[in-house]
Amino acid sequence: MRSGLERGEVKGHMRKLVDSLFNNIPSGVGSKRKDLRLSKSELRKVLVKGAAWAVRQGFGFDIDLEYIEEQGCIQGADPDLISNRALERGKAQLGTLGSGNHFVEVGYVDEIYDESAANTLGLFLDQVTIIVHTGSRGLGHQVCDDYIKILMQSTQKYGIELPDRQLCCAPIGSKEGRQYLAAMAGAANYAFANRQIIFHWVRETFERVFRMSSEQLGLKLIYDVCHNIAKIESHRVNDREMKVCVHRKGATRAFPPNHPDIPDAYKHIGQPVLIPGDMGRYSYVLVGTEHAMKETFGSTCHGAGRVLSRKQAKKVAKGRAIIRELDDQGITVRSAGRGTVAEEIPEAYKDVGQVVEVVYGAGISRKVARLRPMGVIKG
Amino acid sequence: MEAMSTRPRGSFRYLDHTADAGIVVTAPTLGVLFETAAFALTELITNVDGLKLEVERQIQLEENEIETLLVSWLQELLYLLDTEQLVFGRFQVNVTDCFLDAQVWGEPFNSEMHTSKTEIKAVTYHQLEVIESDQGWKAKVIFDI
Repeated sequence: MRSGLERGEVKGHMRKLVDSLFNNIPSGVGSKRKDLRLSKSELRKVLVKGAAWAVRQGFGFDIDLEYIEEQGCIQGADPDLISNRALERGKAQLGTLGSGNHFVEVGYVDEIYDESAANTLGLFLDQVTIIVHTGSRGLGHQVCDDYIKILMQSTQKYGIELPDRQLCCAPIGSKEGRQYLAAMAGAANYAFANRQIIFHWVRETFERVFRMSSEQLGLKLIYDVCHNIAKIESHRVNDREMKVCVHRKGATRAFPPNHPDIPDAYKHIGQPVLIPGDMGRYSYVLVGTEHAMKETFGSTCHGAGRVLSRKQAKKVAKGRAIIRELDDQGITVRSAGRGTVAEEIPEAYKDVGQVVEVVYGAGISRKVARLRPMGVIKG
Repeated sequence: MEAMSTRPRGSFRYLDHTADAGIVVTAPTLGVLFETAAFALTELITNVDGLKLEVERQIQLEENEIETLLVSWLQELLYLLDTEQLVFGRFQVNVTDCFLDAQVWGEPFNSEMHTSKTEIKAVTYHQLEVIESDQGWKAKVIFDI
């Protein structure tokens, strides 16, 4: 999300802002908002309609939907193919951040690489931005668990040999394959709705802290992308236009300029891609390229990736006051989980700048802007 | 029933894994193996020590393989955390022929009283192992976090 605020205007309010975000957005073990209760029939609507459901409930605006991958709803979701257990888990967790590497980060634009693309995205130097990273929560994991069991049998049934127990598969056109895709679409729609609700609470928090309306604050969604999903898309393979299933795991869609599936306002620059880094360094805004379409089925990287295990990170962080260290660098951090901040120390991740240089060098994304963190909430 | 959590008789250690967290558990019997794995999982989520044992649940599961049964058992505990916010400090498990019969005791997680460590997203089948040896049983499980 972008705002109309400049870094200097929020600097003095960071502690209050981060505390308020932390209080408004449930995070960590067993968290939920008491004022968001869902019936099972309502949850089924979430699974079918995605972010649009959230907007109908008053979480955000219609215009937001234009700036979400697939307008925040993957067609063909079938709630009947999602187990009761998944629904039970989903009921309690809509509108929660989770923990681990999930976060809400307030930052500012610290460098612009492409003035014209930045202009199109409404980005300018020193502007305050917000990144939300979360997904389909326990519902998504339950769908995964349920279908691993089913697909393990189909792996045998269709005589496919795989090297690891965690892997299983079925032909896309088989009954199992089609059912999984319809269930996965439901989980993806839940994730779109979850983020839309959290965007709304971010707006509410800014409104309260700065005593201005969301419109006055210029809080607008730049883009919302998935990074773990399978999509049916058209691509050129061996000089022939083909419908293929592109599975992006730890990867982000990065469609080029003029692709029909990106917002009209961004047609001439390509689809925005957000690459979050660690909480101490920076994150990037990129756009997709024609080259990505040829080389990577219109995909690019998703984030920095860890370089230290959680245990190693804790060892490195031992005896250090990480929150204070970050505070000294002008980054206010609040975390629900004890140990999360130590596990998520900047050194635990690769330098996302280097990762971005690789995808830029390979020509699969163009750099638009770099964002530096000012405040982070973590689960 | 005593009011506080009890550490099972098996032993466990955490694995160093870049993106996830894992456990290696050893125990004299399959039942204790499952109890210890549950304890190790809960210890990743919160401090088990001091959890009150005011809620009791019966869990029965059946699978075709012992490895899958271990995954289902740990998934069941995550399910009870997600849906009823329950964390358990005592486990009593019997396993015979891929059938599990367990009794667990604990209380609802409360962020004001309990330490929130990390949420475990899922129990995976990645590098999953349950092995019987002269010393008893050994298992390896990787969690997605």
